Amino acid sequence: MQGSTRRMGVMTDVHRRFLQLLMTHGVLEEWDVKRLQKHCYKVHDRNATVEKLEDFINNINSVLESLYIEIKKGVTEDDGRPIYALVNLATTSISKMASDFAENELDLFRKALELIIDSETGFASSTNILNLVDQLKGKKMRKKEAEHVLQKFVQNKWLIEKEGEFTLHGRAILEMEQYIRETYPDAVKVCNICHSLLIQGQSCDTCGIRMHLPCVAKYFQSNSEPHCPHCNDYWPHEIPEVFDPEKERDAGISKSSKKSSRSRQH
Amino acid sequence: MADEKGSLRGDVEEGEEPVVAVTGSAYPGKQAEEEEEEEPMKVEVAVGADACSDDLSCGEADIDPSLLELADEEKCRSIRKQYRQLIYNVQQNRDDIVNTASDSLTEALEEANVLFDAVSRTREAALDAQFLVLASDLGKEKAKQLNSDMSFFNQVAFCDFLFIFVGLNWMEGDGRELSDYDDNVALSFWETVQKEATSWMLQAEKFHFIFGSFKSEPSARKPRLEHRKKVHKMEENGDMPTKLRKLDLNSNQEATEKEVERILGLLQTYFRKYPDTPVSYFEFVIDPNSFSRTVENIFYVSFIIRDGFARIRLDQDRLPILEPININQVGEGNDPSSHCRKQGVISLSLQDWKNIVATFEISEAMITNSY
Repeated sequence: MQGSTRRMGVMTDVHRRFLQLLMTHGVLEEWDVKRLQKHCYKVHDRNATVEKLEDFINNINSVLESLYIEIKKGVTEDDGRPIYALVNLATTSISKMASDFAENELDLFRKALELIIDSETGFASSTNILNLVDQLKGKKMRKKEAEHVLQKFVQNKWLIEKEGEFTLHGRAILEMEQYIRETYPDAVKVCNICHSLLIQGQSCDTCGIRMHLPCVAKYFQSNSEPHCPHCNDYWPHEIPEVFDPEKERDAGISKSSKKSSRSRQH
Repeated sequence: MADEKGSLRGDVEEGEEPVVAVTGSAYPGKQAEEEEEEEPMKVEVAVGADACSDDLSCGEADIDPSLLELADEEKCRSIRKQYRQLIYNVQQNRDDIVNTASDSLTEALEEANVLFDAVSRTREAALDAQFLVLASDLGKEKAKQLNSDMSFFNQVAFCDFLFIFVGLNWMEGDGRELSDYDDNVALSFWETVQKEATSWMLQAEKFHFIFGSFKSEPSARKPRLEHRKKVHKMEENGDMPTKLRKLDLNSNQEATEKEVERILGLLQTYFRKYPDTPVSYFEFVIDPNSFSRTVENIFYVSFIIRDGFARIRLDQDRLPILEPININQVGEGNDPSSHCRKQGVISLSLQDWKNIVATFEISEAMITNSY
C-alpha cells in the first residue's frame, strides 16, 4: 500500500457487501451482478446513485490488488454470456494452505484439466478421467469417490458436465488461464479473434485455426457466407447467434435458453 | 508413650542414624489395638531418602514405634481389603456421586477417615492416598458443576436433545448402541445440525479458489503431437461415455440374446443352404482372426444348444459337429426337457486355437461380425 503509485480506491459497506456476495457465489452472470450491486446500495446507502458497474468493480479491484485477488470479467464459452468471477492471482505460502479440496482432489482436478486441454473438443470423458484415479497423489481414492469429487467440482462451478463429459467452467478459465498458458505451452489453444485461451470452440478444417463460439458469432454476424479469416476457405460450422441480454430477458423469467439445443450450465 | 518419644529423641541427640518408617504424612500417635511395648531400637529402616528421614526425625513425627512392629497381618489385610472395597465402590458409583446432589462422597470420606485410624503401615497408607486422589477428583468435578449463574446448562441433556432433533431416537429402549449406526447416519446428523446452527451464527463466507493451492510443481509433460488430425476419427470409445452409475446391466442381457438370435439365424441359413449336412463345430465357431471372438461364439452357440435349436455330437472321426433340430421335431415329444441333461465343457487355450486354425485350415470366420 505504501509503494503503490495508483490511488487506491475506497471501499464502503456497499462494496464490502457486494464483495462478500460475490465471494459466496464465486462466479455470477452480469445481470445477477447488476442486481446485487443495486441490492447492496439499497441496503447500505439508499440515496446514493448507483455507480457504473465497471467503475464499481475497478474500485474494489484496486483495494484487492495488494492481496492478489481480482474480480475478473469474462465470457462463457458456449453461449457468450458475460460473467464476473473472483479469482486468486498468485501462489503464495498462504494460498497453498487452501483447504477447500484435499491433495488428491486437487490432483484429480489437475489431471482432468490436462485431459481437457489435450482433447480435441475441449471435453474430457468421465471414463478417461476416472481411469487416472489410480495415479493420484495423496490418499488413495476409489472410483466412486472420484465421481463424487467431480460432482463437487461441478457444484462449485469449476467444471461443467455435459452428457458424461467434463469441461472447464468459465470461472476456472478465468482463474487458471495464466497457469494453463505456463504449464501447457505446447498444447494450449488460442482463439484467433480474441487471442485468449480457448477450451471449447470451432476450428477450421483446412488451416486449423480456432475461434470461440461467441467470437464466431460476432465475427460472422450477418455474414451469409462465412469464410475462415486465415485461409479463406468456407467455414463449415453452424454460426451461433450473438448473445443479446435484452432478448434473454424478454424470453421470460425462467432462464431456459432460447436455443433449446444448448443446455444451461450455470 | 511419652517415654518412648523421649527415647526416640534421645537417639537423635546421640547422633545415631535416625530411622523412620513413614512415607509421607506425619503420623500422630496412633493407638494400635494390640499395642506392644517394644524397644525403640527395633524400628524399621526407612525406604525414603536420608534427607527426608532427617526432617521427619526432628521431633515432628510422633510415631509410636510400637506400632511399626508386629502389627497384625490379619488386621492389615482386612484394612487393605476395606480400602479396596471403598475405592471400588466409589469408582462404580462415580457418575452417581458427581451428578446427583447426594452426600455419598462425604460418606465415603468419613468411612475412609475411620479406616485411616487403624492404618499403621505404608501399604495401607498408600491405599489411603489412592482413595484420597480419587475422592479429590470427584470433589473437583462436583465443584465444577456448581453454578453460580442463574442459567443451568446440562451437557448430557443437550446431547440427548440433539439426537432427538436429528431424529435419532436412540434412547427409546430398542437397545441400539450408538456404534450400531453407520456413516450415513453420522453424515446426515452433522448436515442437519449445520443447517440449523448456521442460521444462528453470523459467518462471512470465505474465499474459494483453486489456483495457488497446488502444492508442488507438475511433472514435465511428454511432448505432444503438434498437428492433430482435423477430421475427428471416431475413437474406440467414441460412443457417449456413460457414467459409472448409468451402467445398465440389463442392456448386456439383451445384447447376449440378440447375438444368440443372430448366430442362430446364420446357422439356420447354412442348414437351409446345405440341408442334411451337419457343420463342423470348430469351423463354425472359430474366428481365425480373433481368439476372443471365438470364445464369444462358443458362448453363444452353447445357448443355441441349450435351447434345443441345434445338437452337438461327435462324428465318425470323433470330431464335434453341429446338427440342426427341426422345429417339428421339437414338438414330437423330443422336447428338450425329456432329454436327460448332458453337459460338456470345452476348454480352448490360445495355443489350441492357433492349432485348430492351422489344422482345419480355417481362413475366414463363418460367424461374421455384426458391425
